[in-house]
Amino acid sequence: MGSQVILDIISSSFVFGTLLVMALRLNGSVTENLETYNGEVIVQDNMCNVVNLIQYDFRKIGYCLDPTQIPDPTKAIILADTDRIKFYTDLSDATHPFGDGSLDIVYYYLGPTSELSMTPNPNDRILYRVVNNAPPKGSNLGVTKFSLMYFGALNDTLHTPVANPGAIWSMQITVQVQNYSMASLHYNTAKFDNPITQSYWRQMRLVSRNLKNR
Amino acid sequence: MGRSAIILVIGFTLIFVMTGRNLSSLGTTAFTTAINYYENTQGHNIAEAGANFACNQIFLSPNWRSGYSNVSFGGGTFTVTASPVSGSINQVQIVSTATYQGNSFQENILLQPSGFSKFGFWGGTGASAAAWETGDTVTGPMHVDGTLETYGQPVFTGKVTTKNGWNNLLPPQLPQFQGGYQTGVSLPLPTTAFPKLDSTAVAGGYKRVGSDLYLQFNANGTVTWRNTAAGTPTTVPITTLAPNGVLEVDKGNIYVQGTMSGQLTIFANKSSGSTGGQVFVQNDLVYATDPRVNPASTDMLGIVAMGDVTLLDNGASTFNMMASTYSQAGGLAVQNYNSRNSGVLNVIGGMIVQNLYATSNGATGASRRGYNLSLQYDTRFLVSSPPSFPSTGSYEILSWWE
Repeated sequence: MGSQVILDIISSSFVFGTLLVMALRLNGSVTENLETYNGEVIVQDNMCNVVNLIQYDFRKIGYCLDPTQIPDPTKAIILADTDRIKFYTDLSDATHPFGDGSLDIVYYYLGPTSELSMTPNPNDRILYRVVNNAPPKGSNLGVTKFSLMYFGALNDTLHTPVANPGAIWSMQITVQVQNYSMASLHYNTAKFDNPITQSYWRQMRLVSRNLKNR
Repeated sequence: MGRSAIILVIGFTLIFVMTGRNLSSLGTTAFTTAINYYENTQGHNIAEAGANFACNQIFLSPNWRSGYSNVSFGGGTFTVTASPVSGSINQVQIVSTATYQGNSFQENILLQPSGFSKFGFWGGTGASAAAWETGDTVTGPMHVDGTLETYGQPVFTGKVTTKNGWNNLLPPQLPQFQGGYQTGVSLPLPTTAFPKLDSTAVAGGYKRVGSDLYLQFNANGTVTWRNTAAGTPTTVPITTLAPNGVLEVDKGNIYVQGTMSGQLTIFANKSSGSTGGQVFVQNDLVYATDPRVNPASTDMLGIVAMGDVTLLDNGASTFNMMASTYSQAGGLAVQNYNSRNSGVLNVIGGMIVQNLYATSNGATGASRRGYNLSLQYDTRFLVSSPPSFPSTGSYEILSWWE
């Protein structure tokens, strides 16, 4: 084995090592990007699910298949606060797609962050949806903000908790959803980067047709 | 060396292809989610537009039932039907169905004729001369077919509409419009209401012409009637006396009192001449089942008069009247309001009056005479009304499913 062979081996090892490092680096970077994008898709999907549910329910505030069950629409909202609302509606099911004609009470409220202390994200909370006297139901969709503002007939902001819910004409709902797990950034990050990179929020103003229909 | 290079190129190519595919798949999923949300929103909006078009048509022409078929709108189409609801009294069901990107979206709206009984207070031009002041509270929908005068901070809990706007006599204090305020709404009492009510009474109710009628309601669903105050009493079920719920006296007056069970509209007409057309309430006139205690109460009374509805002086300090009162050319009057015992007049129902009269002499302390008016709206009238009570001629929304 001459010195030329040794030199060739050293050179080829150096080239191979360089290529290997590049491949590993590429693999890590790709994995991180996939994790980031996948997280964004999950958050976006969760946001759509939450917003669809809220819009579906809130549009039916004060609705009943049998209108005589709720003759005075100003009594449709029972409780109105910044992070909770309770109202009358008539929920549909498979056999009654437009409601069954009896009033239901739906209660939305945001749980404390301590309930989800096991998740890496310190801000996520459970958005509960309680129907009548059933046990509260909620799943961790990464909701970090569920904020309600209420407006009167002249578009004036009502102080919360609203003392007279009958004065509510419209409301503004703000929902923010984050990934409940923190991104494990190693490659494409800076010190100032927030490890919770995935966050979507949606703000909408809703006027239930049944709130002031009479 | 050549083979190794080829293997290297193929290996890296495979890695890039897989990576690209995964990234593309995630991008497609995100895009699909966004598109689905957009399509749902757009489909809902198209269905809502169809429903709004139909409601507007019925608002402009109450008999409109032709609907829409496959109207192109917002990149989709909507079809709307407007049909009467079987088993109801003139209710109309609007169904708006939108199609967008192959998906279907539906909205259902239930309408019913709007009756004047839905108002807690309706005031004509004469009534608008009186100002609502601090301490006054009006519950239920309110309309003034003139100018609404306010002094201080009266509270209106229902929606207020006026024809000629609102005049605040004590700025900067503002009235509290808790149910909203809208001006430019003209809603006069219809001239066709009385002939229609008359034909209803003739068709299946009770009608007499040219003499007074004294009615004493009983809690068991009967009514004792007399031709004069001391006349021979005859007791019959309300449903026998006026099967369709309309009792009319034309060119005569109606005297009424008692505890009513059932549903009835008493109608004092004055089709011609100068006598009659008035209702005199002799004593308390209440329901057997108080709707404030039991909202499921089915007892309903409508008092419709061409002239005044007058509360006679019975010497009591509290006068209770449960009814929706409609006066085509008069108002709700308190006999001897400036000399009778002082007290409270409780009206549970509504007042639809051309004129607003004083109920007391306005004094305080020992010199006080007459009544403080407490008008409490009967919320059942938001969705129902006494039999054949005068209608506004338009429809209102009962429920909106979207």
